[in-house]
Amino acid sequence: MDPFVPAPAASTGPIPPHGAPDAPGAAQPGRAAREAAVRARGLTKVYGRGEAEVRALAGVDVDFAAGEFTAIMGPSGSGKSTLMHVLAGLDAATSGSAFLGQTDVTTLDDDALTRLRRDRVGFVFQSFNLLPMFTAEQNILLPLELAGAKADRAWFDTLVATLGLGQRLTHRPSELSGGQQQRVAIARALIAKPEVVFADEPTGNLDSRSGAEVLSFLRRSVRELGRTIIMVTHDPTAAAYADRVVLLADGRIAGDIVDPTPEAVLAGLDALRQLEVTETPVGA
Amino acid sequence: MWRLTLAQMRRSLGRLTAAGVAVAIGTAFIAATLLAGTIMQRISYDSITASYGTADLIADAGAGTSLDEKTVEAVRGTPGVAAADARVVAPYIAMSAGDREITQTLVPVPSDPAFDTQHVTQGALPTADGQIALPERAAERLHVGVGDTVSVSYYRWQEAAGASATAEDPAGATEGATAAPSDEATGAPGEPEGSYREVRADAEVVGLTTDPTSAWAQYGGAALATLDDTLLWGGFGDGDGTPALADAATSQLLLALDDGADTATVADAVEDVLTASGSTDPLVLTRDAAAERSLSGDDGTGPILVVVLAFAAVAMIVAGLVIANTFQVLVAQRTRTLALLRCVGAVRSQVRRSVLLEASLLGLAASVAGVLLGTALVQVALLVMQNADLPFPVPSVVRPTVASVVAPLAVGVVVTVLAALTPARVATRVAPIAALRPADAPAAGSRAGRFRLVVSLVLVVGGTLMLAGGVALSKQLLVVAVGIAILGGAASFVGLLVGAVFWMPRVVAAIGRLVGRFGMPARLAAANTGRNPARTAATSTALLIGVTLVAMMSTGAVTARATLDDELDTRYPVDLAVAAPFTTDESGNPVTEALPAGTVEALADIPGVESSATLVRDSVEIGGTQTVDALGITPEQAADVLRDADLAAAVGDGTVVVPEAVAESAGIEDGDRVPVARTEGSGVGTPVDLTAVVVPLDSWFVLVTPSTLDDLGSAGTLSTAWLRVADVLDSGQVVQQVQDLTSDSVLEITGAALERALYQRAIDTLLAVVVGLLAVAVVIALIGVTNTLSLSVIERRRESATLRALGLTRRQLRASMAVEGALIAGVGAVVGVALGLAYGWLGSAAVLAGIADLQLRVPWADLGLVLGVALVAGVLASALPGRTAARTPPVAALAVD
Repeated sequence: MDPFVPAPAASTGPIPPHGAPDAPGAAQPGRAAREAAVRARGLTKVYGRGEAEVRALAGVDVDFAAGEFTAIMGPSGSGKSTLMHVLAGLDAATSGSAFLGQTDVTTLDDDALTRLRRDRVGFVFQSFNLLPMFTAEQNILLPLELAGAKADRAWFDTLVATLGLGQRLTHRPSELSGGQQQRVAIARALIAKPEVVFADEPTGNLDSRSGAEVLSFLRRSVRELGRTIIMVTHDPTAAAYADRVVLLADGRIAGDIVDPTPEAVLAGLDALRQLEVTETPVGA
Repeated sequence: MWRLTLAQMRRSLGRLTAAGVAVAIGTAFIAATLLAGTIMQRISYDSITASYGTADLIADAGAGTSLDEKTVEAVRGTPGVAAADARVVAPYIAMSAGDREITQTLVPVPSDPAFDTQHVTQGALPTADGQIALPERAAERLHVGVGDTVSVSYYRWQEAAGASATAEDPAGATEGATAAPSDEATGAPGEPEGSYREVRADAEVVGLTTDPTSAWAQYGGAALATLDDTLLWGGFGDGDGTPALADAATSQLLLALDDGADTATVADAVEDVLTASGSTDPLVLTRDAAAERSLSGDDGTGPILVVVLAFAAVAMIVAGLVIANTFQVLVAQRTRTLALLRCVGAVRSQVRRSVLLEASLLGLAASVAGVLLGTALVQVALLVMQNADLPFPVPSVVRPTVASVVAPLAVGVVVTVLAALTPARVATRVAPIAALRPADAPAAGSRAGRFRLVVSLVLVVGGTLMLAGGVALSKQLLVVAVGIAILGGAASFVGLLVGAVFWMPRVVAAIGRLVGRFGMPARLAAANTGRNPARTAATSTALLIGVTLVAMMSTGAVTARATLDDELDTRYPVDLAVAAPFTTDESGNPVTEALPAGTVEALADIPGVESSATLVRDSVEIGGTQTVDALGITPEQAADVLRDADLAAAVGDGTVVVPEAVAESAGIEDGDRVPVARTEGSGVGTPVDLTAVVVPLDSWFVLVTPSTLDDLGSAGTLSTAWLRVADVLDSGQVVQQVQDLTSDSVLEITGAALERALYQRAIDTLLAVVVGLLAVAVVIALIGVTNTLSLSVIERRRESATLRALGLTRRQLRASMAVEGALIAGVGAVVGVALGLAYGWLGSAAVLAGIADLQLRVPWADLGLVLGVALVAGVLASALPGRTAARTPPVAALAVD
């Protein structure tokens, strides 16, 4: 098994603006048949103006297949967090489109975005972000409460069992370890059966053992529960839990690794760095 | 440390400003109260000295010394004295014109314009004997104008063997044509034989005056005549009818000084002159000193000032709570900074000093603002009063006193620093290690100590027992009972406040659970209020204080009103009674006159009269000994016109309703069969035996039915009308109209309606003033609610963002904040209303139970209003913080720090 398939751009130098979207499809014919849960087309995001202008996203085209666990990686400032914010409807794009299913989230107003996040998207945060005044169970059920929807008890039980939270439901966040808190957060992200779950550095605040636990839960929820997860991380070990790694550099797609191993991810990242090192003098 | 403190203050400017507003309002309250006090004193001094004109000094020859003309002349001759007048006031001088008669106070025309107090609107002041200047109102009542003549009647001592007064009377007075009964009044034993005779003198009205400074308002205005006429008409004269100043028994002199004369020197000189003239302890005072002396140090503003300052103290206590809360949160927010400071070497005392320095600066700045605000408010009030054309002189400019500046400043700074003491202690407890903890370090929590619990319990239990004891004692020892009850009430309330941190969160949680059923935003709000129990408790407590006091006052007011109403209903069941007088016939037997024809109908037609009854009145002898009036009233009439249903029910054929006092003096017990007979001439008619019903009625008549009176052989003269007014507060107007209707006949008007109106208005006014003063405390507390919510919003920025990311709409977030505000304010208000009701009832019981039958009442409208205001204000208080919270971008949830 050789999961490391360097993106064409990585080996040939400058990345063609619209070259990337086809790459996953070409590399994984088996998965191409799957419908994309999330798509980006010509997505740009510019912060500031004039001299202070920063192009966080410089035209991103990428598809994330449903039922897949994808990691977005890249060096600091590559735009990986921005990409996630825009895809999740947390931040507005400057131009281009971001589709969740058939919905272009860049065209929605705040209320519609809020409902979209409530009903169709789940979030796992680096700092867990559980509400301290609620118990674990109340935290898990929060998205449903916000929607005024009834909890699917069977699904709740499945999640609690899968995440091993049975003994912790009546505890408040302050009485839970970091790993337990993040598992509660994962359950919360999954309770409404969203079309996609975005995870932002979910292991960033955890020790390595708890981190591994959380990552395997994320993977299980994709494999066993059929969920779709897009995770931003800078940890190659964490990325290796994903089905696929999308590499980002300078606001563009810079590579795509299917069935990654930590070594393959590291190699891919090194290749990106190499690229930056060799490119910098040329560009300067 | 200075620079650091200032830098921290700059960062927290918004929070500090909100807290500062609370202090500023409190200090403005104090400053305004003190300034108002000095202005009230000024006005009262000016009113008292208004009758001195512009006199520079007031000399008093001493009690018991009567000034005479020689002494006044001697004073006038003193160097530096420009003018001097003895102060003469002749009260109750009867004057008539045609068939109209009034009594009027008379004063002499001043010898110098400096002593002028009245403004001549028409004509001039009298310049010769036999002239008079009348106050406009008096002239109106007498129907006279300038050029008309009024007849002044006065009494003059007449030696028994004296010659005819007519010949000697210097003012051309004529001897009274109609001899009044008092004509024969004789002098005190030991004096020369003789008698006072009524004499009449004609006086030409030469001028009409007004009294712009209300100098003579307490006398009902003052007419002016020459000094001689004033003395003569005032009855101050020798036996031969020569007016004599010495007889007026006046010891006061008004003095005007020459320009540039030294006040102290002249005062000394005048004292010497007076001493030389035989005064034992002469005193020469400036106007203010004289005013002070005549008030004997008590100008009536003292107690008012103390009461108002007590309310200011309540406002400051509430402000202190708001400050304490703000600082607690500021310290919590700065945990990391403080820990960092400790890491790099700041010792605990430095941290504490920094917090206290911040509090002092805040207190000082806010107090300065408060003093300015308070002074400005008083100035505005003065401007309004000046334009309101009040009957007393109002100063045009506020003159800040030392007290009105220093006291609020000191109180503001001290309260702020005291409030910051606990937060400062918490700040010193921040461990250096806290700097190294991750961002989500728990806020410095303060666990309420056991000591606090014990103190609180002791105060609540002890205070409640004292309160109960006070209520129980009030029938025996009213004053002591009220004192104990007040102490107990205050102690138990303080106990409740001290212990608020124990019970308030539970109440909030319980009400929160109820509210939480109404959707997620409400659930969130309820959960959020439970997160920082101490802070929620302190915020609600701040509001609780004001609301409890307002609720207590209005409960006390309605209870007092109801109780007094009930008491008056029993004792004075008739609003207004109009009665024709008893007269005597030639043989000296009493005769009941009938009410003039048409009177009854006219009375019943007066707007505001709800019902009326016309009664037969006769004189009866009851129990064979006691002669009283008997009034014939049917049970239907009684039910209609009497305010006491029990009394109305007692009226019936075969019974006689006997007031307690009559029953006592006639030796009648309730239920006795007593003989009642009509008095006829000097004897009585045939007695009829009736069953006595003794009632607690404050009257000297008995009630029977008309048919009983017929049985007694009464002539059935309708001589009395009883009226019941629809609204007691209108009774003033009703009485006025009744008086107008009956002005040309000699009818006697009595009744409790006016008294009712008076005390009801008094209670209402008092309540309005008190509630207005307490409203300041409530406003400060509501600022505290906004402050708490704003701080929470800052603390919960990440949570708000998380909730937004998870799908909470902006509207839901704002709604959640609104519910939280309403919850914090609402709990304070609900508990406050409940406590206020309890304290109001217990307090009324302690004060009134000994006097009357307690009628507990609930002021539903007032309490509802308080609750409504608190809830709405709570929601409004959340508006700004809610907007801030709703603006939090959901992305902020992903931020690491």
